[in-house]
Amino acid sequence: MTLLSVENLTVGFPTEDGQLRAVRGVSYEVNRGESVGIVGESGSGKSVTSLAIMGLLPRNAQVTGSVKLLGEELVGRTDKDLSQIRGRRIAMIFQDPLTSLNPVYTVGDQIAEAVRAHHGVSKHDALRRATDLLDIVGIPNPKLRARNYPHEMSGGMRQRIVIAIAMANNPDLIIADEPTTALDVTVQAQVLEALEAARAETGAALVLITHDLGVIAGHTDRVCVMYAGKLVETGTVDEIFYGPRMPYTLGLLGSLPRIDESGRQRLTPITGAPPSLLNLPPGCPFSPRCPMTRDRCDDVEPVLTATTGPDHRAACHFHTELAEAKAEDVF
Amino acid sequence: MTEPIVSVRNLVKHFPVRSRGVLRRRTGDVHAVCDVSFDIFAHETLGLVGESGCGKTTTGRVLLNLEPATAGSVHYRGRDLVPLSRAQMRPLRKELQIVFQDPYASLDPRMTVTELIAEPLRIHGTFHDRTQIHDLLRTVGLDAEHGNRYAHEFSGGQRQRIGVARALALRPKVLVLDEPLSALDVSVQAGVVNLLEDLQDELGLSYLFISHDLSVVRHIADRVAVMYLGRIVETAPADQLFREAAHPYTQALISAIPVPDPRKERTRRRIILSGDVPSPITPPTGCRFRTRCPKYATQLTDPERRRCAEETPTLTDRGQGHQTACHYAEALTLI
Repeated sequence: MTLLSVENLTVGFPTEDGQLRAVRGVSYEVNRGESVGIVGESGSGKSVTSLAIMGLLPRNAQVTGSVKLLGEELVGRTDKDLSQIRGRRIAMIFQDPLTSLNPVYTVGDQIAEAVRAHHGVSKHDALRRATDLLDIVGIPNPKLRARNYPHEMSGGMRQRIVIAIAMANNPDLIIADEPTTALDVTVQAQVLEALEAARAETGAALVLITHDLGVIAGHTDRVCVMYAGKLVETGTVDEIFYGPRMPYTLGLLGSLPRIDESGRQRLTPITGAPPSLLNLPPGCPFSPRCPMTRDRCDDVEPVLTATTGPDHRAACHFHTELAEAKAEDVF
Repeated sequence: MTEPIVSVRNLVKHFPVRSRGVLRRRTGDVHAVCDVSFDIFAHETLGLVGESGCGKTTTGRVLLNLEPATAGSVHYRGRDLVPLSRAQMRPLRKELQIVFQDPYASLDPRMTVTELIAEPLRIHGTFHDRTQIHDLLRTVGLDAEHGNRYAHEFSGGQRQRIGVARALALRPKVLVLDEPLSALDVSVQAGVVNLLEDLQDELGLSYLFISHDLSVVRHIADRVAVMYLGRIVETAPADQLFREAAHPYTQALISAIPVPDPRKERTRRRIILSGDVPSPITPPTGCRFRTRCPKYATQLTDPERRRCAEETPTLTDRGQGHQTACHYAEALTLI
């Protein structure tokens, strides 16, 4: 059953040099209880997309398209309307837990506040719920820790507090934007486990935004690859990792050094840098960096088309040539 | 066995912690680096890995005498660098260079690329003409015409290449690479990794590659040393370390790294550590890892635990250059 449906979402920001087209027509769906990964490099528009879904963009942002939560349109709603949905039905986890938390309240109070914002429960009951939530996300001594301030906790613990706040109202959907990027690997493992615990407890669907393909591989069912403000490939996690049909995805996978492979195989870097979103040339935005590029790529921008299966779609004119291709042969 | 080019022995670095107020009395020490020893051989990459705050960057800086050591020695080609003054260090700087983590902060925004790369040459009086700079730019995969531009006109990956060109200008023997990739996007990272490998082969450089990213380290390093809270807890040839890590911390670290392979990820065994890294001002007695050690928590008997608390484990040889600082080390295959 479709929980969230994003259709042809675009986001533009006016600048002195013209409009910056951060998101250029993104469409995807998230089913109930499902986990969808959005992967892309810095500036690909993955964060802006999720901020647009939550209605958290600055006022000067120009948003068009449609975002529907269980059939209910979210684009164009007032801030007051949206605050009934944010935190209760869609919760968000940001990269930096220190800026998500309020430094002058205890973490217990902040979790209780999230509960009381949407449910008319007593302060006492809300605090008890806060302690339970701290336990679920793996904070030892939750009763004691609820009385701590954010600065008394480590980065990993703070991020688990943010997860506890996100799950406080049993949301239908949790959007996590680079939730572990600032953390060390062993702490990242703790936080990802807390996130899984939160999903198991609430049954929430997850949109996981990250640049780390390893995290995507382990924690998502389906993947959307973003490049220059568009989705360039979507599919199940296995389709994307074992049979990518967009040169960019293939290049990303080939450029990763892997802990499970020994020796000095050459990595296959993607040359060049992502294009400026200010005045994109016509044609495929990846064309200047693509080793397979031809005349047609610079004239016509490819749209997402079905490849190996109806759900495995890629935005490349020549995706059929990538069947069985290896990154080191192409790049 | 050939002589190591750099040989670090029992290196200690403490930073004073001072009280607030007028007197600023010394109230304690941050034990940043504690009794660290390792060798770097010619034409070899030693990977130094660990999480933030484990002392890996400080180790690199003390090695280059950018920070004075509290105790211990750093021998470069048989000569101890620790007692040398800045002036005495200067001729040696030609041979020992560093590439910094942040390519945005380490390049002066008011200098052109040519000036940036020429600066070390001018200081050491070996600057002749611009063709030297053009050659260096070409070596790191940039164009000669890039020399007239400023750092802000380049992308992160290109800036890091400029940083590498500057470090190479004096034809060093040893390069300390302090997290040179962590500010870069993955697709760009790979290009810099390849460049570093090519340069090593061409110029016969030795690298101390400091990183928190074990995947990159496995790729680039010949040998790896793992640090935890100021101490080296395990060191081994790269493949051996990843195949049969024997220290519980290394095992947790390896098991925590996500692999970009969904089938493997679904079936992998994860060792989740509890708690956080203790303060380096008052590190735990005995084994510094015992407060988070899953083995200490679940597998050891009380007398065994007492040994962890009382006796600091030293690096013990397990054969083939594999050393582990754990009383109860046991090899585990995790990948």
